[in-house]
Amino acid sequence: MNRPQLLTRRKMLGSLAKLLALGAAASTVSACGGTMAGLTLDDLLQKHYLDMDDEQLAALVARLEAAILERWGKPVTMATTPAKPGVRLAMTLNLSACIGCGQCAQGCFEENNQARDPEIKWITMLRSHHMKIWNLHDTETYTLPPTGEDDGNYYLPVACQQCDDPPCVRACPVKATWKEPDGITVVDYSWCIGCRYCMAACPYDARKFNWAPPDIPANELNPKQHYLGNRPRPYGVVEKCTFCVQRTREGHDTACVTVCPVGARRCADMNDPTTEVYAIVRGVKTIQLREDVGTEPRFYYYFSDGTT
Amino acid sequence: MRSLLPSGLAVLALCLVLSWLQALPVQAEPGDNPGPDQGDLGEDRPDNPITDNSGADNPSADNPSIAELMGQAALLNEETCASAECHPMLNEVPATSRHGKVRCVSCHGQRGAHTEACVQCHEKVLGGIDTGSAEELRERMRQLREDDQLDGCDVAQLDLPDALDCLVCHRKLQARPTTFPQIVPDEHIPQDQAKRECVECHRPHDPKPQMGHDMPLPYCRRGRDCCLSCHEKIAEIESDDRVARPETSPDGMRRVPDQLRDAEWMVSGFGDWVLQPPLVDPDHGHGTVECIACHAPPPAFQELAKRVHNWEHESVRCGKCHTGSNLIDQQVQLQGEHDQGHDDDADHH
Repeated sequence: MNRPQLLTRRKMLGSLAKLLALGAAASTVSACGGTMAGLTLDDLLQKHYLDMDDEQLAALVARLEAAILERWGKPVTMATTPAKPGVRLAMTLNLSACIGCGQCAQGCFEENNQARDPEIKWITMLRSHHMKIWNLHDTETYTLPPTGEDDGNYYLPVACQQCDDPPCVRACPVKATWKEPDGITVVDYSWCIGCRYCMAACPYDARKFNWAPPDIPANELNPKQHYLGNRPRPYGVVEKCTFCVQRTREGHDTACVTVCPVGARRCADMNDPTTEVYAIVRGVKTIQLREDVGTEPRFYYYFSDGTT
Repeated sequence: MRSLLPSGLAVLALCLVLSWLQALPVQAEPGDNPGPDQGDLGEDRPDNPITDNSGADNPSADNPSIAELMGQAALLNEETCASAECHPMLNEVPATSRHGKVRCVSCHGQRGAHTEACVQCHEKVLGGIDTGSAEELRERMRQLREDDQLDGCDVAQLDLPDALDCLVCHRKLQARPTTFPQIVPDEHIPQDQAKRECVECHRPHDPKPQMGHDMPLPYCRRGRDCCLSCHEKIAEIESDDRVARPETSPDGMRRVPDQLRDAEWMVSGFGDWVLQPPLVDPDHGHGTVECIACHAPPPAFQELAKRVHNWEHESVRCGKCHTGSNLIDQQVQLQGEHDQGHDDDADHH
């Protein structure tokens, strides 16, 4: 009972008060000169993306555009375009046409401002010895286009499957990732805490982590950005294919669809009867990866030459 | 017990914070409130602005920027890139080009390759190409050209870096569709030749192979098989497989190469000259290159066909395909007036 106490209530309250004062001072200092590297008071008080109204979104985006201008010296436009109602995007890939050149991965890389070092590629080429039996445990990831001797392997490009029942969304402890009404599973890079649970949950290894701050050269930075898409990602967050949300919501094709030299890919509204995706999904025998896991992927592979 | 109080408080505080985070009201969960037309075939749905173009995108109506145009990515044969002001040489790409359906960005990159190659002129003269609309850029180019201020900025003179390496798409891989044109580089050109660039024979925008004197090859659907049906070496002979470049006498007969002169199956009677077609190994040291690429510039081929093939064989294989109205006979008529004879290009091999 008479033992000297290490921590009295007085001491504890005193320490807390000092800590609060320090924190207030620090945030005041950083609020004055906010940069991408440091957190500003606005960053700390940011609400969840889905809870913000248009005005708050506009202010948020303006703040980020200014930060990018300061960091890269390049003016950018960052959109927050919402999903068009009634649209449900899906992607198809014609494996009979695919030549494994890897330009989809490269085009995506350039369009979406992915990290250069260590390199992030949203589209991964899987390499397997078997043509028809794609045991995903037996494949290796291969992110470069095949330039060596023909080793008799087969290649499959894989990216986020934009599942209808995404395990990554379920796994996120902070709701930094969710599925938008047009089918795109998005990540709010400002909300993500970098715990990487979603990466563990994804059966397709589709999510990539930013091991370093963004290092894109200014002349390669794509200035047409979307908040949920290809804006430069901060250090320590997860990213993945977003079906080029900055393009698809403005009525264009995704980058991978555009650069494919043989036109093997299509990304469009699977409910619109005028699209090829609609016809392929309903009329052709399509292959989905890991159907047994029950994620309901919205990426359909198929062979147009009768191979089944 | 009391000493546990501060840590207990800390734990409690942590739990409260976490539960606050979890209970964040979020507007739209994935599962609830599906749109009226999701999953339906959609009878009364609004016009869907996102449609599958399955081809070129249309640039946005008014004044797209260059960056936007690059992003939308025209096909090779389209006007977006191939305007008189920006890339005039593209206007010469024939509609039948085999790369006609390939987009500019597939080989030239969406942003990096384009800006790096051209930035030295464009930034100096035009103040950057990623800013401003395409129309503005064209206007400035037009003005500068009129005022003759484009010294040193002639696109044709630029030392452009290579676009994508051709082999990235065209290297032969088992995994690639068999209908897709692909080559094994070491077999496509012979080993002893100096390493040749693809572009020496294949113009990237119109890749049908061009040879030496820049004349388009006569397009023979049967290609090498047609030649080899008479000229393929079947008997094994003990000699160097390489056949020396054939010399042609003025009247179209072929000089027998030294290696073959003593072969048993050679028809004798004309000494060094023979009507028997020289037989060669299909590879012939030249891999899969078309025979007619080296051996038949149009005038000599006509001579040969006239004097040797048509004369010697009546039911000639040529006649099966090359009837009166087709390519070869037409060329005979067209070029009858021209000087006949085969110019030996010394460095042809």
